[in-house]
Amino acid sequence: MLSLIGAVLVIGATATFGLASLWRMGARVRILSALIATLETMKSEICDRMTPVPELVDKLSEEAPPPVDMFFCKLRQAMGEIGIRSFYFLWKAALLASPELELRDPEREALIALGQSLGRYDAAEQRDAFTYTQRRLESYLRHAEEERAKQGKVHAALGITVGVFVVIILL
Amino acid sequence: MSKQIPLINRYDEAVELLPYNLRAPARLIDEADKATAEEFRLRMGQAPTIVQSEGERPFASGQVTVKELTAVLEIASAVSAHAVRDSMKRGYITAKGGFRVGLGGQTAIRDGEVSGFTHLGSAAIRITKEILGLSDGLLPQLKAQGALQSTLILSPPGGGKTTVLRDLIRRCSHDGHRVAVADERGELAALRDGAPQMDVGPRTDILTGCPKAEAVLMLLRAMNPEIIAMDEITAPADTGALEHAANCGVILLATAHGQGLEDLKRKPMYRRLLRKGLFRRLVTVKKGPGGRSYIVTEMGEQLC
Repeated sequence: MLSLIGAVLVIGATATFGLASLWRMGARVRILSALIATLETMKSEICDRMTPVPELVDKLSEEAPPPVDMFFCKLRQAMGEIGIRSFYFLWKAALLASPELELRDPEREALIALGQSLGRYDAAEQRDAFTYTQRRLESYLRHAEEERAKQGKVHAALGITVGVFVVIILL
Repeated sequence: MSKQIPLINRYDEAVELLPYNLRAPARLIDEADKATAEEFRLRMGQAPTIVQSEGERPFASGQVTVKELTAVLEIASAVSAHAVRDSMKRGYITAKGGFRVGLGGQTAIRDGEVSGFTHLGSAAIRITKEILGLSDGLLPQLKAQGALQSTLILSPPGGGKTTVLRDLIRRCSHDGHRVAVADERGELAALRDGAPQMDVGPRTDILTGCPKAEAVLMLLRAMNPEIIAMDEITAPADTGALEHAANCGVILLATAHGQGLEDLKRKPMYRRLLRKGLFRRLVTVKKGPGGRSYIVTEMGEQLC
């Protein structure tokens, strides 16, 4: 009986690792989708409605989907430092301090680069920067979706298999 | 007219528009100098200076860098160059609080029009002043049989005509007149979230960010004003709108660049205004060593 409980626990633990990996891949897809949608909102607000950046940051800190809203909360808190530090510095610092976005280096770099254009140029130039960043993130999103489809189930199955294998060895 | 009470010194607010490293030296200057400061000037490779009636002098050591000029642009535009593009095309930004920040440098041209700046070379931060009661001594001279007459305030750039106009608006509004202000650059009332940041009186309606001529016509249609105020007549469309307002029986308060009546007569656009008799009083602001003086001229048709 004790052996059976042990076997269930071992298989459960290794399966959890596999499922957690699957969940992380799903979360990355959701977050990248949310970021792309938020960039579309920003593009529309800045380029069509001429919304000032501080106002937009306020709005997105309340209305962007989580965890993107947390990034804008951090940026909003830092906006008081404009004049002491450049907006680009604050944007970059907020991105680097947002592990909840689950960004990989190239994705983070794409977003950091967008900060160099935000609020600095006229609407047409910012639109180009948004479009370029969105395209890059869309390509990362496709990659993340493929990764989830290909490797997600493998990771989950592998977790269970490893558990079963360990149990067999121990028995 | 030398009694200027009380002066609302907005020097400290203007300092906030400077890059962080220049704020401390700007705050260190004498209180008397702060009261007379008119502008901060930043020019690439030169020491930052402060402009007073007696001239310009450095207020900090070191040379202005591109980073500092970029910081001024970022602060003045609230990191939103796209939102101030139209005014940037005309060479300035109206920053929070109604401070005008003039810009110089290399312009960017798109579709044959100035679209902004590729490289900033200089910035001039004008320190807005409110002098409550400044127009008290003027007002009786602007009236005929107790009724306020349409008035044009004249001075060279930086002469203080906006300050006079703002106080006239405030005073007329407090006296019970409905005043409508076409405040294109936001320098008269500094509207923020719908509320004026400067005292322009309790019965004043403001339209800001809208071209002056268009604003006058909108205010005329929508606000039923007794008085319409406009800062700086600069285009024939402005004079056309004022003419329309005057024909509707509205009293006009406006400002224009010029040294005096003779100077005005030399400029075709203003000559037309004078010929039409739109303004009955002319206030000429003169800057002298003892401060500013205000000369009121009654304008009859014989002057035109």
